[in-house]
Amino acid sequence: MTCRLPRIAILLVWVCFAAGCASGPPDDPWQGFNKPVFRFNEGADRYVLRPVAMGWQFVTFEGLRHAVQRFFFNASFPSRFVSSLGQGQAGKAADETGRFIVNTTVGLAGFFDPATHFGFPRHDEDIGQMFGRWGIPPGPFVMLPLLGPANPRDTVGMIGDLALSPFLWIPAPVYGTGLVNVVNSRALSDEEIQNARRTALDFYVFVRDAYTQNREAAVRNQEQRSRAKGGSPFDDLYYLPEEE
Amino acid sequence: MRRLPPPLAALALPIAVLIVVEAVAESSVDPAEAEARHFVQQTIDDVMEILHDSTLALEQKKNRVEKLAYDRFEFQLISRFVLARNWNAMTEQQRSDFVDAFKKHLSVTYRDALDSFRDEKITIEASRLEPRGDVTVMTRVHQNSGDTQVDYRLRKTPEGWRGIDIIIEGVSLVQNFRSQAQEIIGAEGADALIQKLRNKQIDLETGTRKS
Repeated sequence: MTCRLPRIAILLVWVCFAAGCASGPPDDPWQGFNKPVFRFNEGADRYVLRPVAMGWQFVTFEGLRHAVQRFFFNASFPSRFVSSLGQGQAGKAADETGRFIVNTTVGLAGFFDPATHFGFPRHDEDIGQMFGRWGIPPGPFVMLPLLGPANPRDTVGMIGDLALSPFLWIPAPVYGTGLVNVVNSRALSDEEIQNARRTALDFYVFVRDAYTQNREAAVRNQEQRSRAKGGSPFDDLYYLPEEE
Repeated sequence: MRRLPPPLAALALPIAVLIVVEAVAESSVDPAEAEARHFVQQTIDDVMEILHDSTLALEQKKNRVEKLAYDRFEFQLISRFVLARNWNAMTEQQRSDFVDAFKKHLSVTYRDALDSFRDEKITIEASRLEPRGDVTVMTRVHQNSGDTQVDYRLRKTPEGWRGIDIIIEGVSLVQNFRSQAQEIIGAEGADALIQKLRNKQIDLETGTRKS
């Protein structure tokens, strides 16, 4: 059984292209599409997703929620493996393979993470990052209905991640397990999300900027952040206007 | 002792020199980097000491951490980086209003964040020398659900090292607030931005008291 959601998402992105949403500012040309979608997503979160997630939080304990998160993270091993190989990073692919074998067996289907203690570090790679490493630009920022912040490159990447998900290959209730993952993740990040909502001066811009910065950093790869001497991507931030 | 054959003996000295030079190069962290790392470690230790002090109530802990943050971060500079070119177009009054409101805003935000502190371990992973003598110190916060990478950008001021940005998982706080400030100033002007900061504060403070 395949999941229909990403197809709808792609369709919407292309509808947007066709309708010529390119009317916003340079850093957000599709703003005319994005902002209404953002309001819709906020409503969906407020009235549906968050209440369900709070119910889940009420009937579970924190340790279980973390275990469920580890289970889904372990299961998404194929996309991290393919992404690492695609970026020519065999060491990372080997780490991920080791993690998957250890955590699936000793870690009881991935609910526990003994691999970290055995010296296999985790690498948060995905297909979008692999595309980025290949030099494919992200394209304009886009807010996808229900799926949240994205860009065309990483939207295609997400479809790749999904296609590599083992839940599509084994006889499992795709929607059911996917839903548990979404609700559980929402419950775990509730504090951060609520904090950001309360403190952001413009929550839409906060989300857009944080997403864009985070994806750029993910493509650059955090492990190399210390080695690139003077290579901080933020340097022009710290000039005072008088100095220019 | 057996003597080395001549060609090898001739090579021995340059190789020995090379080894020594390499060893020195590797062990010598730039003094500025060492100072900045020490500053970050000291600040982490100070915060941990406050948070672990069982004689303090949560509100007292928050007050002490807030005082420490005011001390260790350079809010005037952070404000100017956030406002960028807009700073020059603002009046003296607007500037000082913004700095005050922004400082208070950040402090209230991070006070609330202390509610969710769960005794995470923080380690310094690396550091990097930046242009203008700045140093970025990279730390890792070890959490149940995976680690979080938090980098601190520091600058040496006449008063000593001060934090000028926090970069969480690649997201710079200065850059993020700059985007938001730009949007609001562009649409509604600088006074609206200052008013928004003040309104948020009132919401946050009353929200804190209610809970």
